[in-house]
Amino acid sequence: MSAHRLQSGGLIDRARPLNFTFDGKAYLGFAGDTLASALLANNVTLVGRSFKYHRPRGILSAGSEEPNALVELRGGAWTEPNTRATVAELFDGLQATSQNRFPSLRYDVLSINSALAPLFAAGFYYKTFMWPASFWEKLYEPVIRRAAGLGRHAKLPDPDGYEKSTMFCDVLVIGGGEAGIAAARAARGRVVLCDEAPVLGGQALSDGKAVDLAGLEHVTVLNRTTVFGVYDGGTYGAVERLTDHLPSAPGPRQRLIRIVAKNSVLASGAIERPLVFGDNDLPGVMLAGAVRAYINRYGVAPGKRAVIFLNNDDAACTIATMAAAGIAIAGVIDARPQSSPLVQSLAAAAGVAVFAGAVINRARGGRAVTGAEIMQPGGALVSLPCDLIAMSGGWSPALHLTSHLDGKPHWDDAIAAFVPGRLPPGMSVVGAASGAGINAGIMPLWHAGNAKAKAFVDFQNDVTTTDITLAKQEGFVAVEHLKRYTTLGMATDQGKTANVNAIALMAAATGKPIAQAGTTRFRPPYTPVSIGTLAGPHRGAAFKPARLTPSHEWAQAQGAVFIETGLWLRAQYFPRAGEDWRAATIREVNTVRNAVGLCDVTTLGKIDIQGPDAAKFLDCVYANSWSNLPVGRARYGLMLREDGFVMDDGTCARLGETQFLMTTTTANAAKVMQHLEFCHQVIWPGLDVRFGSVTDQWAQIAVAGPHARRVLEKIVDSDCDISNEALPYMGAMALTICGGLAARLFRLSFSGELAYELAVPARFGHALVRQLMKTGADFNIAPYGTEALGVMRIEKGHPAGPELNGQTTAHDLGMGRLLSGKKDFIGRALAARPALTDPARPTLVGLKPVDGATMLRAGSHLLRPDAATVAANDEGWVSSAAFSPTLGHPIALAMLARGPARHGETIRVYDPVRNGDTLAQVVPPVFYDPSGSRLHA
Amino acid sequence: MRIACPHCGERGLEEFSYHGDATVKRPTDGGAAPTQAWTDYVYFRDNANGPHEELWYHAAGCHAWLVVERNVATHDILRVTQA
Amino acid sequence: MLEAFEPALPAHPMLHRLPARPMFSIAVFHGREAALNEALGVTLPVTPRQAGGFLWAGPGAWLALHPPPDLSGIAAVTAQGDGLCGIAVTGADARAALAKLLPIDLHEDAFPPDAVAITLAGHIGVRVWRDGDAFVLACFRSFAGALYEALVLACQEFSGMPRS
Repeated sequence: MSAHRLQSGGLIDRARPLNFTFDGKAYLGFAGDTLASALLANNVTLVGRSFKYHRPRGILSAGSEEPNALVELRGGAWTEPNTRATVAELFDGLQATSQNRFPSLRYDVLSINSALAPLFAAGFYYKTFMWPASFWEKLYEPVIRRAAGLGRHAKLPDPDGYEKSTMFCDVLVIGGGEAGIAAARAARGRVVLCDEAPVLGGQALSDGKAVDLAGLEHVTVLNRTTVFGVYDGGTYGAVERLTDHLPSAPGPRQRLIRIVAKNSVLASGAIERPLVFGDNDLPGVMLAGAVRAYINRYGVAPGKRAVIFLNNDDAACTIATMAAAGIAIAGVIDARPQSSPLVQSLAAAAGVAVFAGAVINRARGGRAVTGAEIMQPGGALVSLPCDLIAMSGGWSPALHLTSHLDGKPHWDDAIAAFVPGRLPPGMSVVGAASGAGINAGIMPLWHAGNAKAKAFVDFQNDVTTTDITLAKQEGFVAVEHLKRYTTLGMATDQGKTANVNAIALMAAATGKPIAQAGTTRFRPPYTPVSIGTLAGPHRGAAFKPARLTPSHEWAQAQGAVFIETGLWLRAQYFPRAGEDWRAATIREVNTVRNAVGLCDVTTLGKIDIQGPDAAKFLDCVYANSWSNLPVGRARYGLMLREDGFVMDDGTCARLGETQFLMTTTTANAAKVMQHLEFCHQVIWPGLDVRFGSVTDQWAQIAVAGPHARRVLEKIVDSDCDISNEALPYMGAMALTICGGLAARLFRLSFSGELAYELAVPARFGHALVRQLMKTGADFNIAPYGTEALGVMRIEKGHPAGPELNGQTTAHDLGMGRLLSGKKDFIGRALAARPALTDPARPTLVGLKPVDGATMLRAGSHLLRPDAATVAANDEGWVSSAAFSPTLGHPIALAMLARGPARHGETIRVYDPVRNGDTLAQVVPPVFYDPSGSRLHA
Repeated sequence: MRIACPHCGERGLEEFSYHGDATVKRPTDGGAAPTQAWTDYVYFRDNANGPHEELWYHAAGCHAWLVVERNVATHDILRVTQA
Repeated sequence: MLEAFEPALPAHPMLHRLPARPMFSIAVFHGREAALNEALGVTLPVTPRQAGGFLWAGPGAWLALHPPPDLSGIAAVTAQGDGLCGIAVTGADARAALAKLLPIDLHEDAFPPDAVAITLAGHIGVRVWRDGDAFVLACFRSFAGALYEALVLACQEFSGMPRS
């Protein structure tokens, strides 16, 4: 039995001892302990060093409001810094380490900061370490950075898994103390009750009362669950801690729950306030309610000889609780001039002296409390030896959630506390959280005594009464300014034990009523939430879902290297033995240009458009015209945004009088669908047309190269004619292949070779690719990927994604002739703005390096060779670049001011970020087969 | 935030895509010239505090375009109708 | 004739991929609702419900689970049997598992046996409906593997199976 563990009592399981270590030293606790209660049982009172001054700190509270007892829990990749020992459930083998001290907790060299305290007053970083200026980056900042901060994180990937879920209910009860339990019991419909502790009971358990848990069968009770935020629309955010209380366990560590509730009841209780006096931060100075909690819940006496300091009757029961636990009470210091009948009678029953109208001037001790210096009415000082000071400045309703939607709490003078103001829709507040039943007989006391020692207001960020006075002197009196200037309330505890004291002190300093000062705005989360929990399962490979093409498994088997295009995985190149990406790409391009290749182009958006007004609708959304497109033909289409810039391009095939098949770029498929729906539902609802995505319905395989038709003729059924006459360039037909399979064949070319795209229902895509490879073997067919596709379209001067970047117009791309002059279409009006048709705009050209060898880089800027390299002389940029196997030298597409008028000119291609600087010749953008003869073969 | 799609019922914000002001109407003059009416339609917006009529697209749901009357100060949604 | 190919998905006590079947999108043209009902011999649901093998898919749109007759001039018909992949989620824990992926209320009162929803499963667009005790999630074919993986993870708490 360790020194401070009581012989009996507490809700711990004394039959289950647990081993744990703190700072490498081994200790024993029991199942049901928190790390804090187990440390106190072992008389470990020094648990950390404060943030700025590195003062020795102990355990202040017994709950999630704890500002001091922050430890690093576990080790390795599981290390969790800034864990409050007061809520960390003890498990066998738990390892905890203190933070913010070097070399040890006992002997921390940075406690020298205490001696340098005047330098570190509030706002010190605005006034110090400024001169000489160069020292800031080299010396001051790195040193301050090393000295500052609390815990350190593991710097390793989080090995735990996390989960998310959604829950719907009629009533969400937040807080499982007596008030919350009663509210859940009385509620009807689907009821959820959440409490951050492992068991229901709240403050009543801490006060040693029995709690009635009957009548909750209809309630979904979630323990170890913190409701951390209130959001619009009756939505609440909660974190359920699934395995933090276990040494290890399979499955997710925590679960993020989005709760959608028709109504909610906030029963979050209240948080006790410290009293502010000299050296009130010494280990052994604790909140009175916490002392009762350690005795009643955990069977631990936090000290042997105590002084009680209070200004209200709520703390009076501490006298009896301590006495029953065998703690000697040196005196009850009651700030109220006459004390109160309750305190007087309880003290008398325990045989304890009451010092009425007195305050603690300062606590005494080095690394722990050894005594309390009492200031009597009249000013006389008397010292009481003790190893425990139990203080109570009253209770503050835990009303943070009421103000997440901007409700402002208001000050209630009668109970000297802030109570909820305007509530979120659907929320009601019960119990101590509403201010009911707290602070009986309270006499506000915001600063006790006048000792020359530091009197702490915000323990975690080391903010003292001096800092508040300084803030007031410097004009930072508004409560939001006070917060930012002093940093009070900004630490991981968000000032739960500090805010009210600070507001009251500032109000007193400025001579204004507290009601006028108000609180700072509270925002989610109420207590810290791991980033991993917010991510849930969406991390690593599961960050976003992968979309796979019908030929994906086949391509994988061929050893293809894949690239992400939006959510899709596309084969980028198919390396053979010994090939890198460049060699593979060159071979694939040569294969397409000289023989035949195949490429899965399923990913391009395919939208089926049907209806009496289908053609009219296309006229509205595309810049060019569609009504005159014959059935069985496809046409290139340019789609603008309403501001006149190019949005997307694609081909659209007419499959019937009232049916078209539109294609979009892969990246813009969803965006174009949204745009079509907007045009139809919002702008032109009178048009009778319907559309739907068929991207996944059809596997689409491009077959390109001089032998393309010969390959296809072998798989197309004999009754189908795909000769040059029957299916000319840009033709589209339905047919059957491989013995009756319905398919569609489009004669489209992105590569510039004789090319087709063959579409089959997606389940046959895999088999089709294998069949084409088999049939095409005689013609040396090979698959090609997006890399080769990209090289070939650059050789053909086709604008693609890099040129359609949202900043280019049809004229810029050399497609001004596509804009119809005869009809309204999206973007028509603003595309005609003089600035968008100015020939001085960067316009599409080709570039080739003057030395025939230097690679040009996309992103390079273009200047005249004799011009200074300043932004004013910038004449354009390189949009796409590649090595051309077909021409045997590097090529690029670029946007150059007045480009088409400058063919033959030499231009400087300038890339300072990557040390590129070379000369190039401006040429027409179509490098290969400008007449298109190969397309029409 | 939750939006009550008139077709699908109330759904979370992640299912919707925001477009902007629903009160601006596309000029019906055919767009032959870039007039002030067109520039106003594409670029200029009032920025009032309080109730606002705006267009949302139920992207992950029924693909309906909806006019949502929403108070931009309080986030209260007052009305949702099919565009 | 070419063979159909479906990538293999690991067996799971609560999940299975539904065999491919003919499915069709139907979207009615202006003012032809009555003609459509007559041609199909059913009153198509105008709220998120299914009836007679027709699932509501938005205003004036449905997903048919079998081939419709000729609807020329009445509605746009598009084959979707290859475009959509259905995964059935079965077992007593189906609802609890789906709560980890679907942001909609699956309680019996909120999602009765003939209910239909178009929503997200994690990041993947799905149509959801019930088939007896099973819940069916249908996504675009290209997402099938990713959806199955997400479902396996969501079911892990109940199935005891390791992640695929």
